[in-house]
Amino acid sequence: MTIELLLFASLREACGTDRSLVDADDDANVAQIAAGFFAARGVDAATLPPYRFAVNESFVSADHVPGEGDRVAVLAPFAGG
Amino acid sequence: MSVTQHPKRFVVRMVDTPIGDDPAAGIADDTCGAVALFRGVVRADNQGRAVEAIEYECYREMAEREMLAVLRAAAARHDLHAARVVHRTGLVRAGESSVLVAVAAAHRAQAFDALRDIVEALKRRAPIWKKEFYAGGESRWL
Repeated sequence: MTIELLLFASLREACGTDRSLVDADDDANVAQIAAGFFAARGVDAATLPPYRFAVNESFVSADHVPGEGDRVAVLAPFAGG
Repeated sequence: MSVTQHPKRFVVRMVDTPIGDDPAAGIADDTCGAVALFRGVVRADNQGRAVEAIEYECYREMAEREMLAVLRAAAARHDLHAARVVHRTGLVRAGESSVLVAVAAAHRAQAFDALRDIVEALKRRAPIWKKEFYAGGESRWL
């Protein structure tokens, strides 16, 4: 499947991109997709802040398996206000 | 469960220009006995470091959706008549407003309680990030 991976703020800067189309295994969950993406970009995940996930603008757990064309956002801890 | 006669009115805006003097204008009608406001301001000091500005970045579609959900939940819990959030994006200088939350209710207790609930929930749920810029040129994501 192909998903759209969205990155913001510190994660965007670490990866040098805010949006990528990613080909992933059909049974891959969002945590696996993100880990594979970071590794492919040469980003050491240990240097990143803790993160969680949203699919199509709704929070999901790390083991959620997205579908074709979904928007998968990797979200560092929020700091609004 | 109380029955409300007023229409529920909720507004969320992410803006890249300064938050105006009175973005809560017109929020109350004559059924409201209380309007409460919270204005967040960029502080010029954070843990002993001089802060010149904060840059706010958001996942706009999700931030607006989450903030609207927060307002609706607070309105249901506290019987609000109306609620608004205006949040900045982009560079906000020290002393400038970063966020404004306004609520209108029949009574002050509802307005005060809802206002605090909303501000705390926004910080937990809205995908917004900030990068502090310090005197001397350094910066870091919080």
